[in-house]
Amino acid sequence: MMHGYAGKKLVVDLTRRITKTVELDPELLQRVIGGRMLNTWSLYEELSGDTDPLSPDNTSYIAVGPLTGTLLPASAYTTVSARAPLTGILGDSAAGGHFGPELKAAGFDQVVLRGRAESPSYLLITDERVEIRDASHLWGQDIRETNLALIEELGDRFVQVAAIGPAGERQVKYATIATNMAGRTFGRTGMGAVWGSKNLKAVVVRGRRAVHVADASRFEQLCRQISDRIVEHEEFATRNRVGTTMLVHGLNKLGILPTRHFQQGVCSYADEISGDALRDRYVMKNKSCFNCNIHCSRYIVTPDVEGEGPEFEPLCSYTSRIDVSDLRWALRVIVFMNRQGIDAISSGETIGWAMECIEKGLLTSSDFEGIDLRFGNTEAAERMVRLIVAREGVGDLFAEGTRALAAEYGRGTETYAMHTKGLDIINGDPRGLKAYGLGYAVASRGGCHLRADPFFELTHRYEEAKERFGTERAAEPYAYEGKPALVESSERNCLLIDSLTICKNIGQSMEVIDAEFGAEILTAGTGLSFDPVEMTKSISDLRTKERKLNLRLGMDPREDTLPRRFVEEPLPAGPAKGQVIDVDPMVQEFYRIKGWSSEGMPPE
Amino acid sequence: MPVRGCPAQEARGGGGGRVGLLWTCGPGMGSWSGESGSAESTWNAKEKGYAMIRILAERCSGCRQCEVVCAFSHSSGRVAREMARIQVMKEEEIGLDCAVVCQQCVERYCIDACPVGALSIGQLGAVVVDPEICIGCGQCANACPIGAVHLFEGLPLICDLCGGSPRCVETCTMDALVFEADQSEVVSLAGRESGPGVDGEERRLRYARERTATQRAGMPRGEGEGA
Repeated sequence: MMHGYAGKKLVVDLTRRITKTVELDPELLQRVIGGRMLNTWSLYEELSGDTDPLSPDNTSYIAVGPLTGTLLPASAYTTVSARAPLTGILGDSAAGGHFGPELKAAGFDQVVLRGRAESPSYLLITDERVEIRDASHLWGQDIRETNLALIEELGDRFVQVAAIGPAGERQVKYATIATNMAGRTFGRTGMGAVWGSKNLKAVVVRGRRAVHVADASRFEQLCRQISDRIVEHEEFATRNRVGTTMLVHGLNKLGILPTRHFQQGVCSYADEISGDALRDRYVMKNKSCFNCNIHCSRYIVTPDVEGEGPEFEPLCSYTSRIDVSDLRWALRVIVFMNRQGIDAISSGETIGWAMECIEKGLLTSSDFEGIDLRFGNTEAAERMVRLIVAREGVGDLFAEGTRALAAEYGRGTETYAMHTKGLDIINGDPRGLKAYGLGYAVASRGGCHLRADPFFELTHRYEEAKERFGTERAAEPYAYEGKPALVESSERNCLLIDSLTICKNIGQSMEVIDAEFGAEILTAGTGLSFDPVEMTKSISDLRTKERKLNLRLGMDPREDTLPRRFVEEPLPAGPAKGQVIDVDPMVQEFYRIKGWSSEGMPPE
Repeated sequence: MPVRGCPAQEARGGGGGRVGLLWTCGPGMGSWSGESGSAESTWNAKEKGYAMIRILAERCSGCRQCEVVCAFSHSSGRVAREMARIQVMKEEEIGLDCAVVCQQCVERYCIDACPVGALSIGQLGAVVVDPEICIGCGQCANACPIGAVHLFEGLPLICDLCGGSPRCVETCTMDALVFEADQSEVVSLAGRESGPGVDGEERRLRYARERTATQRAGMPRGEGEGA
C-alpha cells in the first residue's frame, strides 16, 4: 500500500471515450516526486516535437503532490501541463483552492487527458466511478455559472470543479482553467485553450478516500515545524492581511512597479490601488486554500461584482500597468475575465502594448477598429477585454497573445511586446531585480517569476550570500555577482516545491521548504526513501529534461533573454532610477553552472 | 479564557476591524465582543463547568485546516472530510465559510434520541459514545439540529474536545474557533428543524448561514444576495 500518494493515474482518451486506471511505479515517483515534475517528465517521455498544441495529439496532464490532502499545510496546489498554445513550448500552470485534495481523495495523483471529445463534455472523477459526460448545456457558460450548474446537477456541494470559460472554448491562446467559482486560476500559458480544443469544459472531482501517511507521529512533528515557521515568519501578519496585494506598495517602494507599460517604476497613485485600499474598501473577509494557515486570499464585494481575489498580478495588470487608478473598475474587469477565463497578465500586456504603441505614434486607434486605447482609457480597455474573450473583430488578433499581435502589426511595435519566449512578463520590473530578470530570461515556460522566485536577492543577508553563492553581492538587488548561482539554486528549490505542490508564497518566499526538509517530510509521509542528495540530482536531471523538451519543441536558446527595453532603457525616476539589466552575461554564467554550452545546449 | 493573541487580529487593530466588530453568536448564546480577555467577565465556571468550542463564523476563511487536524489526530494520520468531527460548510458563490461542531447544547438532543443509552455526557461536557452499546442507528445524527453528529463506519462521530485541548482550535490562525474551558453562556439550539426529513448536510449549512448572516453588513450590495 502506498502512503501519501494515491499511487494511480487516470488515463482518459476523449476521442474513443475510454478511461483506464494505471498504477504509478514507486521507483519513478522517487525520481519525479509529483506535481510539476511528474507532468514535465510525462511530457518529456510522450510529446513529439511536431504536435500542434491545439490538436487532439496534445496531452493535458493534471497532477497533485504526494502530500496533497494530508496534514502538510499549504500543499493543496494542482498543476496542469501541456504543450502551450501561447508559446509553443512547455506549458504549465498551477492553482490552489480545494481541487487538488479532492482529486487525491478520489484516488488519483495524475490525470492524463488525450484526444478530443466529439461534442462538449466534462469528466467526472469520484472514488467510485469515472465518467465522460455531456456538457453541451454548459458550453457558453462562464466558469462560475458552470461550477454552480455542476453542483446542482450532481446534487453535491462538495464537488470541486476546474472549468474553462467561453474564452477557453474559443481557444484564446492565453485562456485559463479556474476552480473555486473562478476564484483560483490556472492562469498562464493557455492551458484553458488546450481543454477548449479537446471539447473539455470541466473536470469535476469528488473523493471520500482517506489520505494517509506512513509515519504519522514523525509527519505530525514535521508539519508542526512548518506551521511554526509560517506563523512566526515576519511577513505572516502582512500576508494574512493583504496577501500578494502587499506587492503594490512593496514594488512601488523599490521603484519597480510596472507603470504605463514599464515606462515607469513608480506609480503616483499606488495608495489608491494598494492591498490596503482594497481591504479597506472592498474586502469582506479572508479566504484560504485548503489546509493553509496564512489565509492570504480575500473575498471582495464591490457595488458591481463579488468573488474571491484578486491577487497582485491581475490587480497590477489592470491598474498601474495600463495607467488606471480606478480600483472599482479594475475589480469589475478582473472578476469578469476570471469568469470568462483569460489570463490577466497576458491580456493586460496586449492592451498595455497597444496603449504604448498609440502613445509612441506607431499605431492609431484606427488600427484597432476605432478603439481609442490610450493609457488610462478604461472604457476602451474594457471593450478590448470583451472582444478578446469573444474573439470578435480586432479581439481575435489580441487573443493570439502579444508576440503574435506585434508580429502581425509590425512597424517597430515588436520592441514594445514585453514577453520572453511568447509568455508576457509578469508585474515586476527586472531592471531593479537582477536575479528575477535572469529568472524570467531562462524560465522554462517563458517570462515568469515563479520558476526561480529568487527573493533572496532582496534580503541583504550578506554572510549567508557569501557562504551559499560565493559573494555577498548575491543579497544585493542591483548587483550581478552571484545571481546566476542564486537563480540556479532557486530554480531547483522551486521545482521541488512545485512537485510537492506547495504554494510558492510559502514554500519559496517564506523559505519553509528546502531539499533536506523536503526529503525528510516526503519520507515520513510516503514511506518511500527520499535522500536530499539523490533528490537534488533528480531535480537537476529534470531541469535538463525540461531544457531538452523545449529544444525539441523548437525553442531557440537565443530566446533566453529579456525585451530590449530592460537592457537598454534606464528606469527614468524613483529609487531604481538609472537601472538597466545587462542580462546576457548572466545567462552565459547560468549556462556554465548548468554545464550547458555557450549556445545553451545541454550535453547529450 | 482570553482570545489567543492572533497576528491577523492585531493587524486589523485588535479585533476592531470590519470583521472583528461583527462577531455575533447564535440564539441563546448572548453576544460578546472580540476584544482580548473580555470573555472572562462573563465566565461562570463553578455553576456550569462545561467546556466548548465557540465558533466565530465571520472570521472563518474556509481553509478546512480544522477538519484536517481533527481527522488526522483521531485516526493516526488519516485525512478525509467524512472522518472529521468538525466540518466546514462552504458556499463559495457568496463567500460563506463556517465550521460546524458540537456546541454542547443544553438540550442534548442526541442523547435524548438514543434508543439504547449509548451516549452520555463526559467530564468536560462533551458527548461520549459507548461503541459497545451503540447500534449505529443514526438517530443521534438525525436529532442534532445543526448536523454536528454524523455516522462514519457505523459509529457516530461527535466532537470530544480532544480531552481539553482541541487540535482544531490550536491550529486555527484566524481565531475563528475559540476554546472555552468553561462556557461563558450555555448554548440552546431550540427552535431549529431536525429529524430524518432534513439532511445533516442541510442542517449544517443552515446553521452556517445563520452564523454568517451579518457578514455583509457595511459592505456594498454586490451580487451575492440574489445570486
